[in-house]
Amino acid sequence: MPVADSSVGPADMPAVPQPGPAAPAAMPSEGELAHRFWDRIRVFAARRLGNVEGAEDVAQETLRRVGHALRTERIEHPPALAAFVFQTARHVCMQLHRSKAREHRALERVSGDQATHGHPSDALTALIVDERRMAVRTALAALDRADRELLRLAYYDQLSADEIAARLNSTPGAVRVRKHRALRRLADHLVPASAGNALLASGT
Amino acid sequence: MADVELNCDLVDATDIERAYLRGTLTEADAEAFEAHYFACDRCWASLQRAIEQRAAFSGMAEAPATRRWISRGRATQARWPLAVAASIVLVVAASSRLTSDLRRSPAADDTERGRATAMTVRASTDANALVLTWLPVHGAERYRVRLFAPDGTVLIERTVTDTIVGIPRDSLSAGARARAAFWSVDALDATRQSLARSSLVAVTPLGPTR
Ligand SMILES: [Zn+2]
Repeated sequence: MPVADSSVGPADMPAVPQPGPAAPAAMPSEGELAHRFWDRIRVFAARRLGNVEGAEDVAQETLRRVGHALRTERIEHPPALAAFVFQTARHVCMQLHRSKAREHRALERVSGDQATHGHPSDALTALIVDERRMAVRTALAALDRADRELLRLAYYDQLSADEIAARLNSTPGAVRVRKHRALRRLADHLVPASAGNALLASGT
Repeated sequence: MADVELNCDLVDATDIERAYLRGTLTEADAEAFEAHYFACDRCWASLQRAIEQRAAFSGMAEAPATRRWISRGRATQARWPLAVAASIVLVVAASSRLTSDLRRSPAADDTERGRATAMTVRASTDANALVLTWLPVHGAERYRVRLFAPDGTVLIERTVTDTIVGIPRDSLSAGARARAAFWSVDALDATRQSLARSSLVAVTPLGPTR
């Protein structure tokens, strides 16, 4: 169903440009909505539910509801959108939580799996697909050892700047500066996740 | 809504991202951070990077002292999405037959018609790449293509508007290449609701050895 881009805002709004501060930004299309919020909702839900597949269900249902609200113009202005999406995701999470828990128990009986409650980061790192892990690993391998070890302490061991400084005989300020530089060098070696959609010729 | 209204300076000053990932925040503080990163692209990018880095370091053997995390990380790897799980029961039972069929087939091709849906997909492999093509689904705006390991881990995920995806073999880890893998395609509308889904199609990422 097509959605007219010009349909945001009250129907009786005059067509002449309004004086005053910057012109109001347009509401995003449903495609833009999904692009912007899909992964945020998955991270949000994975932390709460502790699993990837439940997080995906929450993301789908949330975007469905927000898309409907956009079409029926229930969101007042673009800055309110993020808060609206967040609150919707919260509601969906709460509603799905119980039924998902039941389904998972059923699935675990079938697959012989046991429920696991590990480190909260584990449900989140499970969102990162194998291919992206490899790409980040390759970029990390291109860094010098000191940079890589610093990032490992910060992101893998999840130490604070103070704790890292104590280990490296440095100061928290110096650690922050070094981490910032290491991240910049890493970014030079890394293509953005969203740019990974290049197609290959099938070669057949 | 949580009482605390966060801004970027407060996020940096309180080291809240790290506490969020470690699971040491109160629920109210975690929600305040979530409400913030839904609206803030800078803090969202930083959180994404932190999650990616931790994922990348998991399984990268270098510092033996940190190896204790690896087994815990593995314990909560992605499992099959429930909707896919229904079909994997069938496919797992048939997978040894499927993969041996694939090995026998000189072209290493497999065409499978969706059982529950109208999606028709075709997987093929050549020396350098795994390729999946499918027939377009009416009303679909894009397609989400995933390649699963036998344990349900997502190896590759692509969202494309085209009806073909090709991935180089060397974008898979050595461990993933050694095992069978399963393609799945979802046809999505604008808000990523699944309109149709293919059944799982088995491939052998190493391909036929010639
Ligand atoms: Zn921020």
